[in-house]
Amino acid sequence: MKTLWKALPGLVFVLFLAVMALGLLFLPTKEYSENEKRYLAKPPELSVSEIMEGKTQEKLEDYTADQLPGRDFFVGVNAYWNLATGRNAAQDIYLCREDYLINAPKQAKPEIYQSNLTRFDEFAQSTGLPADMVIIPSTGYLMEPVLPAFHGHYDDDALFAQAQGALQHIRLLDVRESLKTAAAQRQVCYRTDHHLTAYGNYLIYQAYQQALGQPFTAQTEYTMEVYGGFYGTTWSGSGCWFTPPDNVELWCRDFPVTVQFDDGAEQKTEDRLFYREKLEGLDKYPVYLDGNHSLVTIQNPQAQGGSLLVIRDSYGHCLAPFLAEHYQTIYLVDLRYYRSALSEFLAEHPVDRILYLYGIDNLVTDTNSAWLQ
Amino acid sequence: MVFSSLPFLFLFLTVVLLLSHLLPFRLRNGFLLLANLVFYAYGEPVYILIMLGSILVNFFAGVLMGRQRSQGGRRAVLVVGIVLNLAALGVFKYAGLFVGTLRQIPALAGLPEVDISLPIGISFYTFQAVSYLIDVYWKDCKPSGNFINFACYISLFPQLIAGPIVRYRDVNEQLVSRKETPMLFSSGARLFVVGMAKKVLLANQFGLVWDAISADPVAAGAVGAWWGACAYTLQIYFDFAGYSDMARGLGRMLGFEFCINFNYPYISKSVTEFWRRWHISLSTWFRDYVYIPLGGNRCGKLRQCVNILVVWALTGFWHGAGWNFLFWGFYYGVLLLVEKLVLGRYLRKAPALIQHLYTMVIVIIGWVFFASPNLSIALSYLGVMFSLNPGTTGTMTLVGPWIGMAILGILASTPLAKGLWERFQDRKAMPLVEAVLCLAALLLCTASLVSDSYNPFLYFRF
Repeated sequence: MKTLWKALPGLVFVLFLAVMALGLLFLPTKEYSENEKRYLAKPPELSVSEIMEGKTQEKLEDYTADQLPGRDFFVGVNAYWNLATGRNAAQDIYLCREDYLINAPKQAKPEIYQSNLTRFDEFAQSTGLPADMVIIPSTGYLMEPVLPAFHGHYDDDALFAQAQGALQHIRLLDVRESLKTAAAQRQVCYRTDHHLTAYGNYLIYQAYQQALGQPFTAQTEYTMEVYGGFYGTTWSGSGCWFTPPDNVELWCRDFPVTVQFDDGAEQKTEDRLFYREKLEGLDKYPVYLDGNHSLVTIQNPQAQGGSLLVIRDSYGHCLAPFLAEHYQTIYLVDLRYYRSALSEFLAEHPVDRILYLYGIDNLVTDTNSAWLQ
Repeated sequence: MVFSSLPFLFLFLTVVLLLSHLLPFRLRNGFLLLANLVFYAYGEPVYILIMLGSILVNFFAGVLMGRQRSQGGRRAVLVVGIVLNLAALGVFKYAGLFVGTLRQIPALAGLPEVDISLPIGISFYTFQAVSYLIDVYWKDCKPSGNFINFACYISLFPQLIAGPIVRYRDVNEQLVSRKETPMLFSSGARLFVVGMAKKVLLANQFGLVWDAISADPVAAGAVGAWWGACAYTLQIYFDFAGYSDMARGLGRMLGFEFCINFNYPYISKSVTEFWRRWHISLSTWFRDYVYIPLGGNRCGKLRQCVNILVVWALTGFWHGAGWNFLFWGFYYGVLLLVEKLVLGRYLRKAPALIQHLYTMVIVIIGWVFFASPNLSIALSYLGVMFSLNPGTTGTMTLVGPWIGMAILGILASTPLAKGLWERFQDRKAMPLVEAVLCLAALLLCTASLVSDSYNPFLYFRF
């Protein structure tokens, strides 16, 4: 007994290894990780040629990491350990005051940003249509007061100035100050996600309509639905599992719509802007227009306005329902997935205006504007 | 396979520990040999043939040497054996560098490009094999007559890929009989966990700092560049010493006792002392098998100086096939001579703080040569360190988040924890404290390893 007590560290070591190994071998294989939105690795099949190339070994590493019992628990342990050792500002996602989880500044690639702007500008010029652009500032820029000590610098102002210089045929709307001011009063950015809240999107919608000299609906006119339990992408990425969830708000108005989703191989038609079945998952953002799709057409026969092409990333999911009230047709194109020639599409589907809507983080890193032709 | 990986911990090690303690002793070396081969083949499915070749050549060289009647015959076997070992090292480790350098001479530009990847651990097992042959030649040990035991020695997985360099004469008895007790196992497990914590929780983390800063030292500025070099200083120590601790811990869990390899090198007060504490199994190898045979300090001052320079240039070159490693070794050779001949007597009179500072500055600058891909990159990095460049990233952005870790790292590189442990080790509750710390370290290491693979995928639809 005395020996056993003295050898306790060894016993703990053996037990830990044994429990983990047994769990790894005998617990059922998990197929999908909702946090990571990806399929998890399966046990590798043994083949001599793959072993000789080292492929089986790589698959085994993936498998053990993906299927290790308590995987999410360990990710959380690591996240809080990093915080406890003072490394908050060294993470990709900061845990900030007021329970905000905010992406660290993206390493801007100047040439990518410049070529995105140039391509957008040239495309607007080639269509000869009036075009506007909204660059949504990063959450870190808008929520500066809650950021942790030693955080990186958010370059939004310099990037905005660069865009102003580069865009000749696109009018750049400046929403920075209005969002910043509003953020001090009411939640404009999600705490657990990189997108703007419905309120933030309402402010952009308002600014856009005002810039066009068009009417917009007053806040009080909306019927509000509020759902809790929204754990977004920065929550999933951070591993800070104790961060309380966000609410998602649906700002509803009563007008008839037809919504067509076209992903090339898959098409479907719906008559609603909000997809409440998506509220069942942790990430509830896809409640807006069913999440990512390459081409979405929203038609509202009662609207006064004409037709609008919105070239956008996922920030557009939440904004489009506001705009839908005023435009007979809105085409939402996501260049991350849209692979046809947009000029040909416009020849068949003429529009009155173009709106570019991007989050700044995508605009400085995403190269899919190359598909714009 | 590396020790600090999930398949090693939860598949390989678990199975090996279980079976090696269940099997009767006479089967254990055979099983251990099998485990060694699986371990090696996992990382080097092809180059395992080179290791097997090395085992065969050295085993039969030993047997052959034992059968020679004359000293000349023994010497002939020794020379052939050493040449074969070094030739393998030359081809697989240095050929690319030599041919690549020759190709830069215009007249020789037509030479074929040599692109041979380095077999894992070849530097370690080759040096072990050479030490075996020389020890047999010197009659410090008998040639091995048991192929399985010898193969097991050369390929012993705990120290196969990162040392320590174990000598046959130190372990041959343990290969024949070794006692395994719960206490020994427990102390091995503890040492292994300590080593893994050094590697995963410290070295890997400081590596992130060095990688980020060395990618663009100009943006980091002078202070940032020093911070990066200090981070590498901690990274390389915890990496190497952590690996040695893990190796010794694994050895103990299997009943072997390996020599200590690192003895708190960063508390040294001189470069000479540093090299007595850093990678001890390598320095003593070079001392015993190169420095002393070359004449050591027995043939006059000048010869001694040459010997020191030769040994340290070789030590540097052993660490990697690049001219920067040769330079790094030479740098230390020169500094050791300067200390021996001039500086030493003044240094001893200086305040301790100055002695530490002097040593660490030399060590940190040395690591810049070691860590950089080549000499010119090292020099330009040093250029930033010794400039007034404030950088563009923002010094506090680089430094601030790592202050806590830096303090942790500095404390962990001193004998502080060891002192505390020695003071309290006889207390009754100590095993419980140790067990809790072990479990915490295991959880944190696993968490860190799992998190490396944790990668939320945002654009998942297509």
